[in-house]
Amino acid sequence: MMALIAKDASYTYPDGTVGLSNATIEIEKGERIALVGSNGSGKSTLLLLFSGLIKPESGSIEILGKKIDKSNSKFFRRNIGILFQNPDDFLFNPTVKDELLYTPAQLEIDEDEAIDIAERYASIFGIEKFFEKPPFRLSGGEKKKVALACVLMMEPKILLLDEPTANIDGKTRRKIIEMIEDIKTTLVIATHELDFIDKLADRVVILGMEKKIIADGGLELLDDNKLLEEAGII
Amino acid sequence: MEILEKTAKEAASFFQNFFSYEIVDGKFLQNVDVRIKMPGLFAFVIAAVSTFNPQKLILLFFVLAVLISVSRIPLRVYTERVWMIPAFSIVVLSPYIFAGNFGYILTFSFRVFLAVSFLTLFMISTRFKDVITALRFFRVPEILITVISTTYHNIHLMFSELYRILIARESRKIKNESFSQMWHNGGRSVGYFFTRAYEKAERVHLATVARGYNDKTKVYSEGLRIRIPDVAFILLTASTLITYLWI
Repeated sequence: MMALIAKDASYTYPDGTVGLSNATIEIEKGERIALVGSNGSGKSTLLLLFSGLIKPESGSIEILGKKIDKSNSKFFRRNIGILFQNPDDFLFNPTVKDELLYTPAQLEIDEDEAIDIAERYASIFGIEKFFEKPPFRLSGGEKKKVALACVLMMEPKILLLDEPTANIDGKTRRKIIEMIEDIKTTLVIATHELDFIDKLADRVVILGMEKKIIADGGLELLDDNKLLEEAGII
Repeated sequence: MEILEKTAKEAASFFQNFFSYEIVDGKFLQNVDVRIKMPGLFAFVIAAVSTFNPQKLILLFFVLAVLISVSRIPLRVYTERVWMIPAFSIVVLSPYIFAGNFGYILTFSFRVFLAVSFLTLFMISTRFKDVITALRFFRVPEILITVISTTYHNIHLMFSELYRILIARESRKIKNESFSQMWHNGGRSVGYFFTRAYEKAERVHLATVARGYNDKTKVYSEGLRIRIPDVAFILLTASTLITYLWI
């Protein structure tokens, strides 16, 4: 069964900036995809479309066999986890504990169960010592860990990660990569860092400067320097 | 003109922290149910701004000191949050110095200080989710709760955005600007801040939706159970208000 399908999906932001142009891609359940492209190539837009947070201007998006509308939004929120590129946009609660409990509360998960899961994930990510701290006082790496914990603790069927290793130190980066390696779910990871893709993905989708998908295939695409140059990645 | 920029930067930094919950391991106020604490502390705020009687104000100050002390709120944290608004009221009232009316300035600023202090005490000792619980308990319209909740979620992000803009502006300023240049560039920065704040709010809204928000902010809340700290707070509030009316 397909987890995600985009058919000729295009999106233009309200200010007229083209976000994505005629993207067609099918992602099977359990597949691990790396979306690779230069800055502004449309990776984040495609992730937002796959999360159902924005709707395509033309074309269509199907998620777990369903089209997004208001009546099934809870189903999508329970099953899709998306990590934003900038954790400052993602963390808006007064404390880290409130951040971790935000989604379970919205999805009406039992409080004791939610606290249990939150504590488990806080311990996995080593963020339990920040439990009562406001997220805006954390460092970039710590914020990223908190945001990732918030997403992973819901154990989503589809995980969309936008530049999960951007702007963080080497140690935190290694830790985050290790954690993502262990996740067994449909994974779409947007990045322009090529060095860890072979660990996390088994398929590569390259987006070009024209905000279109220019290549879709196995990891061998990463060895095609001409293609990567054309995409503005190297 | 430097002072204006520094004031804006300080204010952005101040308000970024002003609304956040801070004291976790408290002994008293933190354990009072928000549905009891909210009307009690708000009654003190109203009492503070409703009188110029120094005796009544001293009574409220005494209660404030007791609450800070038994709730183990560090004076540094408390002072950092409280000083700016009373200081601003002194500046606003400074023309009264020429009328020789020092008493009015002091009393007025003291009232402001007390009102801000009780509000700060509430914010510092209460989790935001409990505030939502209390608002629902008092049947505040859901639309207003949504507005408060959205504002709260955005407010420190907005101030941190403003702070970043001011820092970036300062880092790229090579020489002191004339008043007109500062006015011109400051206006542009304010415009830029509004644009960024708007875009930030859009992204934060997307994040709330991505994380399950669907027209109503849900929070975990316990049923109201009256415990020893609640009874103690009710007694303190009642006896203070009776004394206040009696003085």
